[in-house]
Amino acid sequence: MSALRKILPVAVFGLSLAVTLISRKSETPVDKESLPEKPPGRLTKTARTESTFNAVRALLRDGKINAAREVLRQLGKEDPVAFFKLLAKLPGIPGMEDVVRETAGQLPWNQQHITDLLNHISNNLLRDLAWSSYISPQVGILPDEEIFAVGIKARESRFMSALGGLFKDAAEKRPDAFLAFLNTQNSTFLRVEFFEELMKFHPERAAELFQRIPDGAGGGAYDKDYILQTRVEAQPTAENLQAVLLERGSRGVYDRSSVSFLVSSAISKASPRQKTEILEWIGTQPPIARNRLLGGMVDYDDPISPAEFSKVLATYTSGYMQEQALDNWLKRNKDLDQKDPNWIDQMPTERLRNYALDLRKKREASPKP
Amino acid sequence: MGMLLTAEPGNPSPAQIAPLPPTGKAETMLPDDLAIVKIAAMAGRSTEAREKIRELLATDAKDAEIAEWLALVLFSDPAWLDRFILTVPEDRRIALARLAILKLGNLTPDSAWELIRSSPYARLAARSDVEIERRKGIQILGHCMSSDLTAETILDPSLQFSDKDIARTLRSTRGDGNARRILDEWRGGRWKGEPPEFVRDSWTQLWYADKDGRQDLEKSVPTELSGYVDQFKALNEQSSQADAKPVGTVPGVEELSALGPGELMEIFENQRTSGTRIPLETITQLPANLRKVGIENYFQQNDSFHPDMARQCVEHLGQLDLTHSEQQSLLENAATSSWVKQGDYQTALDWSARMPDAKGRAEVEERILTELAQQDPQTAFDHADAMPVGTLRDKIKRIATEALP
Repeated sequence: MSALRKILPVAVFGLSLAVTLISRKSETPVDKESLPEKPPGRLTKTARTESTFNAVRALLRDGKINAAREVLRQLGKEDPVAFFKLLAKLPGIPGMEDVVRETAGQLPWNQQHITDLLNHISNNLLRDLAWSSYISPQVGILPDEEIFAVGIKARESRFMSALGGLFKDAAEKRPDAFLAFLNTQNSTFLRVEFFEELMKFHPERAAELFQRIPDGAGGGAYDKDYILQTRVEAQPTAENLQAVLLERGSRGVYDRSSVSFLVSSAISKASPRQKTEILEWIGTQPPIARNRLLGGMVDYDDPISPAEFSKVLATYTSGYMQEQALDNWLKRNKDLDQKDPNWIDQMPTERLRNYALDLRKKREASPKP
Repeated sequence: MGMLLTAEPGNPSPAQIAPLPPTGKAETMLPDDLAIVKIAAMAGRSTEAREKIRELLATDAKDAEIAEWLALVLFSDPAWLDRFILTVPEDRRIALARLAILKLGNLTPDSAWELIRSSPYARLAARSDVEIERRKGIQILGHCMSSDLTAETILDPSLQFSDKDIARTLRSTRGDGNARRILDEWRGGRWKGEPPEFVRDSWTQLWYADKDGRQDLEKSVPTELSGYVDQFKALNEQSSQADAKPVGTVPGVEELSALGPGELMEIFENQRTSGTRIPLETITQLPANLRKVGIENYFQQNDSFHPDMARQCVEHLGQLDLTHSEQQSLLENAATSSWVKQGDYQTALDWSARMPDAKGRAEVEERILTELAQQDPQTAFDHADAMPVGTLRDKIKRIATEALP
């Protein structure tokens, strides 16, 4: 996330992983004669943790995994902080998920050293699990702002694993207030995440809430770009696509740097009928806009059939761009000649059929390995 | 490493000089379960694991499998690598060691750096460009940047990492421990001149993480570097104050003049992501080095939701005292913006026609018309009819004709 750190002049991204809690592995030999006299049976907390660590390691060395896990579980009940300290030094013990889940919720709330503790869990899955288990008991109970301030410091492996629960709950139950809060954060991507959740619960409010992102808000333009994609993916209709494109201004349908991408985002989630309607709508646009929009009709993950593609090609007003589209489509359809040998016949113009034949000849003359 | 237990002073008993087994005491049998053996190895009992590794080597197992076991042993005994690697065929050593580093880092990032510190062979392997899981060179430790040992290790002069590897690593470190180490190094005189971005980033990180420590942070800087610190602080303070200002407030001449070129580019990026712009007027009033960089990069502030930026720029040009070269650059970028983002070729051509230098003007005009011919051949063809007779008109007509469907 260093790119974000560069962009954002805010405390929110002043991640603080101040103190390493992992003690060095090198063991200093204990000179028994130099130890002060201690009352029998009373160890300090640190010494107790250290002795638990040694006990667990000894069990692991003897292959007694279940016993080791039990010792840790017990430690987790008595001293959740110590538990996580040890966990950082004991990677690879299987089946720790339940203990982590239970124990994380017991940690003291909202303290820097707890943030550091959690962030030092080296196993990615367990770290994400610990964070989300730490936060989820507070969602809907403590103020959103407070939970956010704690969770934003998480060193996540999977983005939003710490705060995902908060965003979901807020988007569903408190969308106006939570968006207003995010708008004060001078941040990027948080609003995008919020809209991802919003589209699941209240898609009909998207356009209205989009307008509430203040002009000139820190990170606002960045987020709005991505939110446009979120909106068309959630509602891939021609009508919504048009509305979203026009969020960029009255000539929003012309923007060569983005329209193709937004069309393909819509197509990636559209039903066959919606795809047809989108293509029809594009066909009503002025030539420059139309030819730029069409770039998005070829869904990259799922190459469209020759028949469908032919309709897309027929919508262009530029033969040059038709040929480019054909080149791109063929790159994603390398086995077309085997799958559908008559595909060339389905191309809409003679010019394109000839172009396709030329390409096929070239491919056959120098087959790629 | 063995312990010398002297039976009599100065007269060690030979039998006790030999190295003890790793745990130094008799071991119970482990269940015949590889998963358990692995965990035991990580906990410091590696006899079985070492045996397994020898077995795998002898039966020509894949590197991935060997490296997994190797990492488990090295977790508790990093120094073993240099002895073990001698038993591996020479042509496999580097790849195997690199894979082991990767897997060790997956266990804990700290342990990977411990290995680098303890093992000359690990260092050799870490520098090598043998590609392992799409990682070359020092990238093999790319997943270990959160370890507080990162900066310390890579900067340790006795380990002799190259400046390139050092810079590459420091750009990715996380955490305050690493940030402090980077600043220590900078204060000690490394990286003379304009500080690398990771120095500024480290400063900023600590600035925000430890408000109470800010004075100490500043005091620790030697006088020859205080100019740079002033630039960092100017950026940080402006950022903090920006939060308190009304939304959309843009920094002014005085604030911006305190920055260096690198910081100005960060401000531009902030503007773009926020949907605001430093006005041209402001940029022309900045010190010469900032003005130059500001004008060349003015349109990097161009966000998607203010399509009027280019027009506002062009309409303002006459009121500002700009050099020809500055006008040229701004008009070219404005024309491009109009064509690309608005699809408005006519405005683009109008603006490019105002470019002072004829050669540059002709290039931009030709580029826009060519693209128009490709993207809307009919319109280009019609437009060409109204063009003055000449090679450009012929070219555009030709391209447009060919581009018709």
